[in-house]
Amino acid sequence: MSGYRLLPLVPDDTVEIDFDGMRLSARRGEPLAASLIANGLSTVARSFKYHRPRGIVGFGSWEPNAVVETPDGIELATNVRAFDGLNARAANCWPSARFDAKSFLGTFSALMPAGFYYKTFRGPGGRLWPLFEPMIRKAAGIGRLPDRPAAETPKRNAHCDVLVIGAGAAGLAAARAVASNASRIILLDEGEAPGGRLLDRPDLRIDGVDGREWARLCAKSLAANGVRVLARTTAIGRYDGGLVVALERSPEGRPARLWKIRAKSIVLATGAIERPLVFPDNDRPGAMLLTAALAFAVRHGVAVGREVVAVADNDAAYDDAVALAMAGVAVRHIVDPRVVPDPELVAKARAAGIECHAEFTPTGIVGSPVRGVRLVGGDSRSRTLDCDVVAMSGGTTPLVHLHSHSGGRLRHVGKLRAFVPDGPHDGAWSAGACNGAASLDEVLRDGSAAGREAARAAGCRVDSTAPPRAEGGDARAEPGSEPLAADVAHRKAFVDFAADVTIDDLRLAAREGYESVELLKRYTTTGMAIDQGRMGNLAAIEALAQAKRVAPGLVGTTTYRPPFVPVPFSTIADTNGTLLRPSRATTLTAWHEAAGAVMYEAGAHWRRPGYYPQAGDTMEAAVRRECRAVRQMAGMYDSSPLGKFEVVGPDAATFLDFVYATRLSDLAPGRGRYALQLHEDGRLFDDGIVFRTAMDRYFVTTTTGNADACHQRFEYCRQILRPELRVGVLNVTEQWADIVVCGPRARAVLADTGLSLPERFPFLGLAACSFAGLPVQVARAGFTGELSFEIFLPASAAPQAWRDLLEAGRRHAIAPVGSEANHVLRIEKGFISVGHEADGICGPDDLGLSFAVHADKPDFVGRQALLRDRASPSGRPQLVGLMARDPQFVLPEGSAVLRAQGDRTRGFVTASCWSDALGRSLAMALIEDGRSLTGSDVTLALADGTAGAQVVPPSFYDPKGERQRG
Amino acid sequence: MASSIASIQPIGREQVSAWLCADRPTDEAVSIAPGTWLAFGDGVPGPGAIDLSDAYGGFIVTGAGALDVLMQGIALDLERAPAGFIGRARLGDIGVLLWRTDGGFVLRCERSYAEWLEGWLARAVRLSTGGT
Repeated sequence: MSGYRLLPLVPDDTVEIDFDGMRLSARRGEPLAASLIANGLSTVARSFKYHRPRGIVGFGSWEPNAVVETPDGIELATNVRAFDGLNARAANCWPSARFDAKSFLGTFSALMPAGFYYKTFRGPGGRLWPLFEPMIRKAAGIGRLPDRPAAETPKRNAHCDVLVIGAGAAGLAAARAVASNASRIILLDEGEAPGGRLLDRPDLRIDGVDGREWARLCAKSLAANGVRVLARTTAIGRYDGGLVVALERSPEGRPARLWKIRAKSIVLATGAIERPLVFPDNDRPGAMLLTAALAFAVRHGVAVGREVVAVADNDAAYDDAVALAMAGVAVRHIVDPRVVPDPELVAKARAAGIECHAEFTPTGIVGSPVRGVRLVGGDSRSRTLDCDVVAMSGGTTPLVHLHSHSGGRLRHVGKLRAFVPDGPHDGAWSAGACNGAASLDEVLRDGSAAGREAARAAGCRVDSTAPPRAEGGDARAEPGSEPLAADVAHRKAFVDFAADVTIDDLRLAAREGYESVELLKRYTTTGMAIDQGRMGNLAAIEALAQAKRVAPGLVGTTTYRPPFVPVPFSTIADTNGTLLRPSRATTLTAWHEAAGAVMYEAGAHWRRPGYYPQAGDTMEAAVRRECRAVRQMAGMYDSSPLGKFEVVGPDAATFLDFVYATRLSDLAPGRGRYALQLHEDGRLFDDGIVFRTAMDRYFVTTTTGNADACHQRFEYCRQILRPELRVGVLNVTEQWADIVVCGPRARAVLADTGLSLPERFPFLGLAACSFAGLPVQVARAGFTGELSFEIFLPASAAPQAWRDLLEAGRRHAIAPVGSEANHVLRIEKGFISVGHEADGICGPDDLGLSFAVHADKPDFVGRQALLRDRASPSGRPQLVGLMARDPQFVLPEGSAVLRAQGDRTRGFVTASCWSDALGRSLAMALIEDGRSLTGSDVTLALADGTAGAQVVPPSFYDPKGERQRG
Repeated sequence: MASSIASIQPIGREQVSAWLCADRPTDEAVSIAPGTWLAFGDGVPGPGAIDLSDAYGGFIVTGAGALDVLMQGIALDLERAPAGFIGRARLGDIGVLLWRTDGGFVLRCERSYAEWLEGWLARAVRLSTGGT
């Protein structure tokens, strides 16, 4: 293969690029693949498994070999555009594609048949796998990601009446058939300019105009009528409900925008791609697709070689070969395995100076890169034709993938030896070559018809002008040869170039019993590499059909899934770390951060202080100091993320009695109660304190992490389960900040700020108070087991109130407290935490919370299941406390609990800490029938041994609760 | 934050009132759930109103590129939304309330998300103008 430029470079358009350390001249904006061919490079890649030398085979996104690394990422050389300073290197090789250190693997290729890994490393015993796995994983994969972060790709939502995917002849005809003045139409195409394959064939005419000019004028007229025409845009996935995701690239080939288009109707005019022929050494550099050779010549002025032999088994290839010759490329021969090709086409080719050879089949390639092609005739005569390019054409593969993405069925068409859509599906009409239309006239008529159908379905007016008429383009791409080489004589005949899968691999797999196409795919990896089998799938299906002696249609296809073409993850995922996930801040978050708190997400996206280290503090030291403050003096923490709801209406009490397992209808105004919500299966869903503020009004608190889920549940119960109740629910989580002041000096701190509490203010009471002139609600509640006051106040007032409380608390040695200290304090008290102890498996009885369940109520969510649980209580996980035998040893959370060494797992440690108040380690655990083990010893399985612990009741500090009630 | 194509202005603290009742309590009230109404702006509180003035943050997005900025994250068909359109939408991973005005859009979100949303909008403006 010694490519060259048909059109000389013009200085203004010439750029310098680097490839594999070589400095090359290129035309600005042309595909890198064109630059490489024009510079005479044949070997530009190495194959995935055997590291065989490979050249450019396809065009656009239909390239299986030439994967390159660029500073922007891993891309196909056919998609990367040449610009000044482009620095690319071939992927999957070292030091270069031409001299690859791993090419020795090809020598051992006979030892690496289909299923090589399974047979060699995972066979009986599987002992070799751990040894070889790191090496195999290191060797696997194609390319290295660039060091620098990927640029962000903007996303864009769009809506339209009709979306036309593909601006070739069919797509343009379809778009024209929709009355564009009255409709919103989007027309997108992967190419730089509209026209598709019309761009490669100057001999085709439509409505009396050169096909290329017709496409240009058609797109121009559509755009002038308001059609949004997106060039360089590839639809990569189709989803239910008319959603199509498409990637638009910049003129340099970089991802520029990810479109999410919702269309009422879709026309799929995605065309078809050429298939290579399967014969020995068909992967040698210089063997490529005929249509790709034509596109490089016509669109980019690059000749793929100096002596081209076209090996083709269909009529359309004759026209393409002639077009290639007309473009100035020396096409010497057409070799056709068919016995009697169309005489008219043969005459046309001969008139273009091409010698035609019927009834000759390729049997091999001479040289690497290509120096010739070996043939065998119908009379068994062999001959060799000299050439530097073998341009293959084995029929076409209709691109049905987008049709299939959302579940469209396919049918096999024998004449095409291919699958096509079995009718429209989910608002999408296929048209043109992807729908099996062969001649240009058929393509145009099919496009118009699909456009009209799509327009009607979208409620748009249909354009009444007649479909465009074609002149030329009658030759059909219907392959006429035997589908696959019968005997490859132990030389590699590739079916899937990208995954290095040969015809022998497929036949071996079939012999070994992999007779389902899905299993065949996974066993041989055919269709699993970068081109997802677009080039080789049909040949693989035919190979399996031959082996099973059934029709290919009965074999079926594998499942086509998005993305349709390779897409960098960075275009889909968000590359900006701070915006990757939403982050929530309370009105006190700025204060926490300014105070040096170590912040992290703690439920429902909230950014919360974990602890407040002072100079030189470790986390442990900070947490101990904060815990001591709460137990001995005073602490305060920001509990604003707590879920908060107003439940209002004459039936508010009945409603809450239904939602909660706890009776709440008998609460007096100004009083609260610890209350439980259950799942329908009787397991604990959420807990919190519910306060009654008036006879028809409640103030409900939930856990932080479940606040949104509780809101959904309240609305579900209100709107669906109990619509007859006159009640409303308002989420006031964001309205009210919640500052908790706790510890023995808590009351004194509040008094020093001027916050006057009611004289009689019992535990779980709620009072309306005044704080610095601001009306606030104060609750006698908390999560630390100490005297505790929760101050609910408008969020905007919280920063000043927080500062006032800190100032007033200074003389009481008050300390801000983070969530780490809270975790310790609640373990000391044995308070459960939803997510730690309530894990969706435990019910209230398991957690020792039966006191909060009023099963005598006639009905509440989860009641029936709870009663069922109570009927067979043994074997349940039960919450217990654990005291490690070594009091200095903090049991790791998550450790498995056994009754004794050698026993099966009976449970696990849910929470564990060092308790400064008790001077020892503490833990909580869920253990099967755990309460019956109180006083006995259990064994904990650790990563590096075992530890002993005693089972105790799960309340270590002030078990009678006198401090919090005091 | 401003650019040649879109300008983002935070909305300061404003009066927000909520009602839990079957019928629309005021002409300005917007339904956010069956029987749940919300109104923004001074002068709208009425009988039974619950104050939510601290629960919402928001931004005014104006300029020729305002639509493009919002459609980076909102899947609603905003191109066809007339001035006066009010809707609830998902932007990125959060819920927003959205008004189309003569000159652009008003976005409101739960206050705790406002800081994140401001960052998201700033990035959307930057990407709209071709920045990376």
